[in-house]
Amino acid sequence: MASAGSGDEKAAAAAMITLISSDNEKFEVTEATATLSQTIRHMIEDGCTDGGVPLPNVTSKILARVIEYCKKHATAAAGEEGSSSSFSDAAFLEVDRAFLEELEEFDDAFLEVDRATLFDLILAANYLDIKGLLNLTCQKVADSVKGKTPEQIREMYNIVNDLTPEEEAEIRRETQWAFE
Amino acid sequence: MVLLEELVEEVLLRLPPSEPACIVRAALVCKPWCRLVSAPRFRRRFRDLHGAPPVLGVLCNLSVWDDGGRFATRLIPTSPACPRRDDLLFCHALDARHGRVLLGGVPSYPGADPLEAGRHLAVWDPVTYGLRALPPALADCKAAVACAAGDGCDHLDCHSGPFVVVALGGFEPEDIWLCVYSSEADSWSEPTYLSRAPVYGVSCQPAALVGNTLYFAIDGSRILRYDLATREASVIYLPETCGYGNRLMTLEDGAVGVARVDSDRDARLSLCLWSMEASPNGDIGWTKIRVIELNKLLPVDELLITPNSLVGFAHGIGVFFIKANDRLFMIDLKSGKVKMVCKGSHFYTVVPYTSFYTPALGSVTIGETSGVDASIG
Repeated sequence: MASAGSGDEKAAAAAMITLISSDNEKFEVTEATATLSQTIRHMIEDGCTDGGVPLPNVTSKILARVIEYCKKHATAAAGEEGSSSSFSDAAFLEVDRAFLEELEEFDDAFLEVDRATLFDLILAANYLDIKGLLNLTCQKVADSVKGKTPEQIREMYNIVNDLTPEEEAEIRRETQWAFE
Repeated sequence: MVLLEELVEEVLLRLPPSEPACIVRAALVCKPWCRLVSAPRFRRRFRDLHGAPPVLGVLCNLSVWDDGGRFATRLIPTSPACPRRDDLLFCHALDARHGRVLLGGVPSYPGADPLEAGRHLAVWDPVTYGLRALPPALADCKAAVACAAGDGCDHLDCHSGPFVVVALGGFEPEDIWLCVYSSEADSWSEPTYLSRAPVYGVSCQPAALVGNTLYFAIDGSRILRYDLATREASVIYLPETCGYGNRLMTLEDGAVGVARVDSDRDARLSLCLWSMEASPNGDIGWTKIRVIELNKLLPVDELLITPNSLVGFAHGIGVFFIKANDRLFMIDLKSGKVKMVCKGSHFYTVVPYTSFYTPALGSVTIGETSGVDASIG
């Protein structure tokens, strides 16, 4: 069902894995999709995926989103591997660029979620060890912190300031340029 | 809805290295965040994630006239989010590499002979404020600084480690002399004498480091090559088409390059880049690899761009500094972005400073970080 190129990849793509969320919902995914998660890849390598992979830290709502991300990016990875050997001309580069743009659009739309969901996605990406997703979600939070004052960051993320006024004054004195 | 500390680290690692103020402000959010960004682990991961260090500022050699008139080096931040430092009086920046700045004309003691100033060098770390004065060099010289570990180091976090300074000088009819200072021995080597020195002395453009080899443009036609590992020096020739105004640089692909503002077919001044290619038999060839039309990039009248407009560049990352109409512009060839760094006519050369900035902040972090950490008190 996945768009893998060579015969070997087809065989790998045909293998299905069952993922089980914390609220006991089952998700059937191809091995190509599931192995974007290093955690699941290791489980497959160790042969402990029979009867499904329980993911007690991930709810069905978040797992569905994570799978959506992995499906899109697994297709992208397969596309790159399959075509780079046979094409190297401008036409191919054009197709490649269009595909990357589409992937970027997908990522942007994917990040249109509320803050609680974003944090849950970070937790899941970290737990499942999906580098691309962790990078994408953490960058989104980092961009929201960038350019904000410490007060604004605390307010945005409900963080209690436990620095004493003396400690705060000391740091500000050392780095006055950062607050002007 | 609070992020686990482990994941806060993942987020803060992705703050932009070119805007260190973001990290400083994050440190003021709460104690755990302050400790997190001050930790050696964070610094190491931050460097690993971001690769090449960003340009934090440019060292402008200028004359300060508001207080009697004297020379000084000023670190001008490339963005408001980069650290500022006090002027270094009676100094001029000769070179900057691997997080260190090489200063010339450092006042060694009150009443020092100004004619002797060119012999006095010091190495400065703008992140930690550490300044180390070197014993006087043989004579007035041109010099370059580099980490002593050579290509065995990634140079992302070595600024507190051992370094070498390679100095050369001489005037016709003498030969060029070359001496090497080692911070570990705290002494200069005996001089080596090379090819005939130029009439007006060795040119004062910063050197380029490629692999373990430093390249100095000694005049309009010759390059002195010094291998830091084998300690061998040799002279090679520049392309004839280059002439004066050449600046040696490390290209983005790691090759030796020459940059120069030159007129193109329409007599417009453009930034031209050549790449050096060595054939297997040792012959040196030069290929023009790029022409950048400055009048299309800069928001100034093209008549204001002169062959002297190229005042500096950051090696290996394709960032150039062009002075035109009393303004200093930073051009990033990779992104095509142009930024005005500062106004004023009083600077004559600029040396870009590239580094990561992840200092240990405040007493909150004391005892949690090792002794070599950057403290900026």
